[in-house]
Amino acid sequence: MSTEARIIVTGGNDVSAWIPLTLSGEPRLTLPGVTQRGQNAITMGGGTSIEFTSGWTSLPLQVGGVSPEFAQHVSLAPANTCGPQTFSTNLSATTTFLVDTPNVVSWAVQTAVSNAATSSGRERVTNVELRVSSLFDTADLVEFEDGFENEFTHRVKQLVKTNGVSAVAEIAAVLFRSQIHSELVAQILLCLGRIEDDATYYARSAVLQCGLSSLSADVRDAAAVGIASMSDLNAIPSLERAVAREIIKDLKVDMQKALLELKRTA
Amino acid sequence: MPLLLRKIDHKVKWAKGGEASKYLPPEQAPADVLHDLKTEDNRLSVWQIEDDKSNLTRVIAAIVSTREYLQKLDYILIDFRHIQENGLRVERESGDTLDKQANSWHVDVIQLSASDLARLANLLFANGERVRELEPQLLNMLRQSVNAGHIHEAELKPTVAQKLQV
Repeated sequence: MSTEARIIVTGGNDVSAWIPLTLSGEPRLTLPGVTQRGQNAITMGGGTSIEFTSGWTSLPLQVGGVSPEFAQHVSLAPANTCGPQTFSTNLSATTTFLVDTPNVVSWAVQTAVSNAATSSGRERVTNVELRVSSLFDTADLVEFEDGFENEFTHRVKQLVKTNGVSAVAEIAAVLFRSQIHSELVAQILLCLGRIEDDATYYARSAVLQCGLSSLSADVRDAAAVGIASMSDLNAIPSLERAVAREIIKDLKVDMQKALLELKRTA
Repeated sequence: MPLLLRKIDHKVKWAKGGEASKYLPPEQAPADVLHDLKTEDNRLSVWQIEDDKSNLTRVIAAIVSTREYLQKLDYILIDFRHIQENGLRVERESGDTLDKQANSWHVDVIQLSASDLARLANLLFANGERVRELEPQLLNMLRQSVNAGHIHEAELKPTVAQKLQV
């Protein structure tokens, strides 16, 4: 028996990764104080078998860069190929992965538990996957203009409001694949930032914070604007780090402006 | 000398020191900025701003008055002198916003060829001031125009009117 879940690992200074996770056998995911905001660790029982599949190129290097704890406890395949990769490992002992973005972990674990607990969970996720996939198929036909929604952004909003966190997770999984044009990623991040939906608030914020680490300046810019739109004070540390490492002067100034707005909200 | 304001959607593409600066001369705009200079009938829509910027806030409020959301507004300001000195012509053409008087500050750069447009992109890139306003500032400006009676609140999109009342 295996249970599929999706977990975000966010951390380090440079990259973030989405990792679809398959737990073989009885999943033993525990997180002390999972409902507590600001919790920043995920613990997995020793002997848990984990299989990773990723759409990221050179995933192992990126995962290694994300979290030293992750690299220490999980054997990773060599990063000698690009594109989706799958590899397995066994945790040698109970392991704690530190994540430096509050709420991300609790969201991920809640998703995992939710999917494991319901027999229809996988079916539901597949349904969302299909809808997200079809959403991206139509994206090339759309023209974006600041201030105006279009058919595509309407569909993104509807998908998120109807399917909640599952939809956000699925959109993000597609979003950060290298094949997606940065302009489209940026527009979706802006859209995620302006959706008014409490149920997906932290999940959307987590995705936007991932966007701050993108190699694309368009995506980093959109992520900062989206974060300012959401007024998520928990995102302040991520935005501060993004400002500190930004090398494009104009973008740094705009990120500082977004940060200032966020702090003013506080 | 007045200024011209051009609304853009991709401010980061206009940033100096971006990826394109590795292979383009510093005074040349990256080709991607042309996405923000979409012409119609060889005309480019811009707004005339007084040299003391006294009408800037009102023009910005007018621009966003027809929007469905106010997440951000990016624009470039450039001294009109640069347009004149480069032989580009402008013509008054009423704007299409909810502020009728502000509409009179709208002009088009006219009779543009493809090379004119590229030249204009370079002028904006080299000499323009790039500015971003985020939602709180846009709401303030819009509120000022509504309070002054320049824009009727009832004509705003419901999503924006709702935010104005918060």
